[in-house]
Amino acid sequence: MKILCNRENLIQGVQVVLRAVSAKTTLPILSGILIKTEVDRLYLTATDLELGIDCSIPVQVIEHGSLVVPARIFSEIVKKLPDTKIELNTNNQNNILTVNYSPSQTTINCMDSEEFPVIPALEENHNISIKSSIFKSMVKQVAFSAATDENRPIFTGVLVIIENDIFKTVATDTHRLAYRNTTLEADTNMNWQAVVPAKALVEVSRLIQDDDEMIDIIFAENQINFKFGNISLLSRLIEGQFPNYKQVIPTSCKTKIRVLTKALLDATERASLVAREGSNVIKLKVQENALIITSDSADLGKVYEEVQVELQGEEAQISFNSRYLVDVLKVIDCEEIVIELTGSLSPGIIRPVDANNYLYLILPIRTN
Amino acid sequence: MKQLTQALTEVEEKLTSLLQEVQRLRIYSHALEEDNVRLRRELCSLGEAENAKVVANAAKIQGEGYGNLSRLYSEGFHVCHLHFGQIREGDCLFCVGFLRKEDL
Repeated sequence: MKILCNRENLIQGVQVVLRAVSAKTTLPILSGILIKTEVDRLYLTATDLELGIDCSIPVQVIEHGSLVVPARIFSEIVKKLPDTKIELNTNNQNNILTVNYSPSQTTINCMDSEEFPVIPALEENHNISIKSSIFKSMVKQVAFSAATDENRPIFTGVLVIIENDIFKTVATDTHRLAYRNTTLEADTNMNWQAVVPAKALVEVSRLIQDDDEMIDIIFAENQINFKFGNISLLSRLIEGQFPNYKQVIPTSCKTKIRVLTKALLDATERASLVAREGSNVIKLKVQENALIITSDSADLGKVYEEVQVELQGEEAQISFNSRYLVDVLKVIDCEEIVIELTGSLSPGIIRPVDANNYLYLILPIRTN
Repeated sequence: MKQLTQALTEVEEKLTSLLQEVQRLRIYSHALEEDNVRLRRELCSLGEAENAKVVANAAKIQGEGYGNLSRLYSEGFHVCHLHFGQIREGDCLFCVGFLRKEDL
C-alpha cells in the first residue's frame, strides 16, 4: 500500500475510530486499527466486537493494500505529525508501515490485516432516516437515564421503538425513566423494537459533526448500523425483554405545578450541595404558589429554597434524589416544566410545558 | 386347512372380546357424561350466599397475596417480575408500578 494524504483528514479518521478500540482485550488484533484503501479513499476500522466504527477519508492512492496498525502508538504519532503532505507506505512482506513526512520518517511494526475480524454489512431492508439535530436531542434527553450497572444488561440499553412514522426511545435504571418520541419525515411502514446499548447512541451523538445532515439507521436482528457523513457505526443489540414501561407511568395526578426550569435547577443544585452524602435527599414541599426545597446535613448545614410556582390541585410533600432531578432539568429545552405528583410514594412526572413528546418519571425516596 | 380354521377362530374370539370391552367402556363413558351434566346443574344452582362466599374467599386470597408482596417489597426485595426476590437497592419503578396495578 502506498498513499498520500493530509494531516487533518488522517487525524480525524484516527480520532473517530479510536473510540471503538478495545482497551482491555485478550485479542491483540483488536488493539489495532485496520487501514484499507478502496478507490480513492482510505478506510479506517476499529472494533471491540461490541461496537465497530468505520471512517473513510479522501487520499491519493498510489498502490492499494491493507494493514492493521497499533492504535495507541499510531494515534500518538499522527497527532504529532507536522502539517505537510504525508505518505503512508507499507511493506506487506513484513507488516511494517512507514510514515513519511519529508524529510523525516517513522516506521511502525504492524499486524496482518487477514487476522482482523470482518465487520458485517447489514442488508438495507429495514432502515430509517432521521435528522442529526433531532437524534442528538433525543439521545441527550434519554440516554442518561440508562443504568451503568453491567449486572443488569437490559437497563444499560435504550429501548428504541419504530411504529410507522413514530420513533420512540425509552431508558430507565428502575429509579427513574425517560421517554421521548418524534415524528419521522417519512412513513417507514415498520413495526420494530430493540434495546440498543446507550453507549453506542452516545457515541453516535458525539461523532455527529453536522447537525443538518441525515443519519441512516439500519436495523437487523442482532445489530444496528448508523451511517452519517463518512462514518459508519455498528453495534450489537442487547438481548432480552425490556419491561413494560407504560405500566409504570401514572395516568392521573393529585398535584400539578408549573415552574420555571432554570429557577428550579438553580435551587435544586444549591440544595444538593448540603444534601445528605450518599443518598442526596432533598425535600420538596408544594404550597400555594410556592415550592419549598430543603436539605440538611448534620456536618455541613441547611439549605432553604423557595421557588414561585402555579399550583393546581392539592398541596404536597415529597423527597427526591437531587441528582435525578438535576439530570432532567439540565436536558429539558423548554423554559417551563410541569411536575405532576400523587402522594409521597408514587413517582413524580416531569414534562415540558410546550410539548408532549417528552416525559421523565422519578421515584420518590421514602423518608420517615 | 385345519390350521387356517383355527387361526380364524382365534381372531373371532379376539374380536368378540374387543367388542365386549368397547361396550363396557361405552356404558362407563355414558355414566360419566350424565354425572358431568348433573354436577354442572348443581354448580349453577348454588345459592347467592354460596356465590358471595366464593367471591369473598377469592378476594381474601388476592388481598393476602397483595399484602405479602407489599411486605416483601418493604423488607427490601424486588417484587417486579424482572428481579423477583432479589435484594433491591433503593426503590424500583417496576415494583411500585406493579403494586399500584394490584392495588386497583
